[in-house]
Amino acid sequence: MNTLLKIGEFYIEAQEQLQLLLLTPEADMNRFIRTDKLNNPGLELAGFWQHFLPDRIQILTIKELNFLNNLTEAALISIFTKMFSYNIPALICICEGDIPKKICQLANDTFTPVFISRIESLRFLKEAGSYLYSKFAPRTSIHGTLIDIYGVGVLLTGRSGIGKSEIALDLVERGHRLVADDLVNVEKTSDTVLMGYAEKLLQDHIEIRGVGIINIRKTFGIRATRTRKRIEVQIELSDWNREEDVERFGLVDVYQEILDVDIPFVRLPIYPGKNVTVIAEVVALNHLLKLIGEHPAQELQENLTRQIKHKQAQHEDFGLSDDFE
Amino acid sequence: MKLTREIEILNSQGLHARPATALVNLTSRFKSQLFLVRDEKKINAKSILGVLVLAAEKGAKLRVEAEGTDAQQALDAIAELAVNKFGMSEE
Repeated sequence: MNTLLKIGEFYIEAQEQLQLLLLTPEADMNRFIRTDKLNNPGLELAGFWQHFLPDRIQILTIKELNFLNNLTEAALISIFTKMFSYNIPALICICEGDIPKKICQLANDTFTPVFISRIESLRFLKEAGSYLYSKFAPRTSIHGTLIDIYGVGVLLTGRSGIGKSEIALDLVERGHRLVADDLVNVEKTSDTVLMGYAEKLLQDHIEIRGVGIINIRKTFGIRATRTRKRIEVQIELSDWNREEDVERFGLVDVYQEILDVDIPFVRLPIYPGKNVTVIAEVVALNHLLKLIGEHPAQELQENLTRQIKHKQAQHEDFGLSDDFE
Repeated sequence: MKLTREIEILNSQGLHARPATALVNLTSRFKSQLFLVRDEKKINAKSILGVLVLAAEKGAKLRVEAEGTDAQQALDAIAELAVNKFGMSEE
């Protein structure tokens, strides 16, 4: 993850949401933010800099500002000369009143961006945190098709030309919703959640070989597409091969890692005449069943084991056990 | 050409899900028609549900019937798989 975010971009994009106001006209807006974490200096203001985190945006709230207001100008100069010497990405003060002029002056001299925000500090931290988290979220893109089937985000993958788009079209016809075709952008929004969405240019479009580009939304209406969907199951389509083992029971759930998130995985060999559309629906429904704790394959296995044990016991009753032989 | 052979289930837990899966994965590779017969039940050896219906316990003896060009190879392979407890080493 090598995301770099310029302070200038941050200011433009988050200005409204975070109600940011730039206090230092000379600031270098090309400084980089390299992490989604914020830092709230505390002990540093008292002179303890050993654990200072200069890569982060520095946040001062009313508490720190009140503390600073009680310091002499010499002390302020000493603290902020030190802080700005680290080339911090920015300093943001969250308060209702003014901040000491000396701070802005020192910042301006060192081209350090200083912002003030009037919104409540907890709300500020929450919104800034989620903005930055999403900016720095691990992301990737996958060659495949993402469809919302009965509310389950199903990612279809497989070699080019195997029929992903045709299956997607079929699924849309049956009332399901297309998220992205051919190229699925994936964003990890938390440790266990992957969100998929289409490339802006390609959104709502699908390529059907022999016909060309189709606009699904215009053709089928607003119900046929959606902009984002969590990826919950992956179905990999493959050419059928007699020599390869395919899943016959489904006793053990198989997962595939995408951005370190385990996604339930189904490998589906296809051949002419196989109705992959309905199978994809069944995979989605089976996923929903598993979510509420039902596992058809495991239940059948339990019944079978019980039946085998029962037979075994009968043998033993009749003295037919192996030991007896 | 129709060939038959008898196999015995050696797995202590019988022919449950995993060994049954190993069996159908093997039988599906052959072109011959393959059947398992036990008492009055005759099932397609390439069908997982069929194999499960047998609920074959340890010691059960099943007759394998094979018909087709690779019938002999199929019977040999199935017999070997049975002797190897369907690849279930932990049993």
